[in-house]
Amino acid sequence: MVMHPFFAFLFAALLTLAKGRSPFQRAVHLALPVLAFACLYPYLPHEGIRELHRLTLPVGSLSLQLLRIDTLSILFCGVFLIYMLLANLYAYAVKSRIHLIASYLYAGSSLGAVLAGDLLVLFIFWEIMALASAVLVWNPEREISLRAVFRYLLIHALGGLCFFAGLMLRMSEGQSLALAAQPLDTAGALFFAAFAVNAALPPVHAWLPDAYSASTPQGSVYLCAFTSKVAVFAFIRCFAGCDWLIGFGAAAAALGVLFAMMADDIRKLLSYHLICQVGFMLAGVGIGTDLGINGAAGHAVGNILFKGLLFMAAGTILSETGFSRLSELGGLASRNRGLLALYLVGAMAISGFPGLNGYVTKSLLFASAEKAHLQGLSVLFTWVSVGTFLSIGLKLTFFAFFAARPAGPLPNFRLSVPVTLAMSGCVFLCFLFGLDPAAFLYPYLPYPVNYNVFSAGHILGTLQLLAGTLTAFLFLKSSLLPKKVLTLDLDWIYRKGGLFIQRGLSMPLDQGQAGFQQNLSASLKHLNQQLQRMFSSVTPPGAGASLITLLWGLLGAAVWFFGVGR
Amino acid sequence: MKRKQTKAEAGIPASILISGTVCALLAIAGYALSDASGGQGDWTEWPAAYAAAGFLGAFLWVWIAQGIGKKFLCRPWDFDEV
Repeated sequence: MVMHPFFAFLFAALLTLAKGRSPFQRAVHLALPVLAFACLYPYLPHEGIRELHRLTLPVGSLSLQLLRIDTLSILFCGVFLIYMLLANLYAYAVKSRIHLIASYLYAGSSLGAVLAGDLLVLFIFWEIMALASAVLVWNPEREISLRAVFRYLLIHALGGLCFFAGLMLRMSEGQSLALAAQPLDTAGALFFAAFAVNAALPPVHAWLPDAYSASTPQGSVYLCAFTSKVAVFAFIRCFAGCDWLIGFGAAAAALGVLFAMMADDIRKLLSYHLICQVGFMLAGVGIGTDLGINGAAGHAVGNILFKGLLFMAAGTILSETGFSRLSELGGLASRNRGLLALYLVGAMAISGFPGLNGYVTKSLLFASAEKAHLQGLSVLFTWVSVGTFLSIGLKLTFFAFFAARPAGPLPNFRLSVPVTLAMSGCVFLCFLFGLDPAAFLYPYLPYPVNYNVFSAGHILGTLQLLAGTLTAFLFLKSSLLPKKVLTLDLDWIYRKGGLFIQRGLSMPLDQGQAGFQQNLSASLKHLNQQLQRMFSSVTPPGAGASLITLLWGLLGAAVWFFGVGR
Repeated sequence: MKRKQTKAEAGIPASILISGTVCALLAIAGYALSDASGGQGDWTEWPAAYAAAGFLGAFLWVWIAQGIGKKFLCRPWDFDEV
């Protein structure tokens, strides 16, 4: 009997559907990652984690590889399960059944995707992920989120179609569906496009800040961890060493920071930084060396933890104050010092402070660019790091927590125990991986790590970079003052452009319909006169009028049916 | 509405002085490290290179965000409000 870990999540979803938030359901909610691990345990290798295990399920003429367990899948699986535990803790107070079910299916399918051994299994979980995450984007308290859901589905349907078309091409050509290195032929390019949509690579990146800033506070905590990391995983499996990824990754990193600098909404700012960090990872995948892949995989792990922590902080701010724009916030440091302390660890980790996980994994990526003699990419990475610290570490921290709020101080608030525990768990792991990566991170990376990130020169360089940026920020503070503005991104094309196309198409149709009705009306009037003249001469006056009324009624019904009722 | 200043904002000139001093100390440390490694180690030959990169990089980001971004990409409205 196959016990795929997805079944644990499916069980939790069905239980929630049947029982709602019963005490048993609450226990399952918290213990779900442990249940999933128990399902996975029989398939884990016990003679060294670099050993490869597979589980194949024959279905008709196809042979589905449900599980492919190696270091890469164990790494992603492990961090997904740990983060799921923390996110479930954060979402402990959620009452909405549909959101809970969606979060279980979303996390379960993400787990299924990183365990997939072939493209078909990956596609199945990929699509479950897309549908479940769309539900998480929906925030019943914000009417606008429904529109964000449709835009999210539109973009992900496009990605799913690319994936499906690639699959069909591979199958029709009788080629292998193994989840392994793909050539950049037509099918390969379609897979690349599908992965790029989920990774939010430019120019298909705008869905991410649009959707993540519209969802519920708890929804965004789940969303920020899985979709883009599964895409990074898929890129590592299929396109490691592909030069395109270096260019796309560098573009995503720079563009993410630029838009984050201008963003006013905290969750949009964090979402743009997610694009930026995924750009780092994919550039590492594009470099394709052992150090590059290690850096990308390690940074994916680190990013899940510190970005999750930052989204938890942003969600807490939103749910406690009702505001998420920097222009509407301020002075939160004096409202809740615990939140400030927890948030600061996330901000410092993403900025690359020594001693935290972001420093370690970014250092691996920077070193991979330098060792591959990509000096331009190395300089870009450094510059993007400056922008990251400037926008999250300084701008967001200062204007949300320390600057005066224009509309007067906000009331004090307290963090609930589950929220504090969830955020503290992320903080603990950020320090754990950051202080002793040799014990807690490197053994789980795909390749052995032979690079010392704690050299005196590297630590000093990082500290100089951070101090220089801080000094510049103190001069530039007034230029970074948040304003309530909208930053136009490429979603403008389908937001305004789609509306324009819809109006453009509907106008001729409306005009055509009006002309048709006018002509029909004139013809009917003429027919009416002819009939009246004809019947009035041969029948009593009442009969003609009744017949004409009947004909008019039939014609009217036809016009309504084909015209107005269209 | 004019923003009121908090203690943190009012203390910015002092903060500039402190962070500038920290940069200078780190630059001296960079010089010492460079000297100790004979210019051959994993340290650049410019002792304050990264501090300068951070300082100038931040100015460049703000210049791009203000000059290009806010001029062409920012609008005083929201898609969902119009």
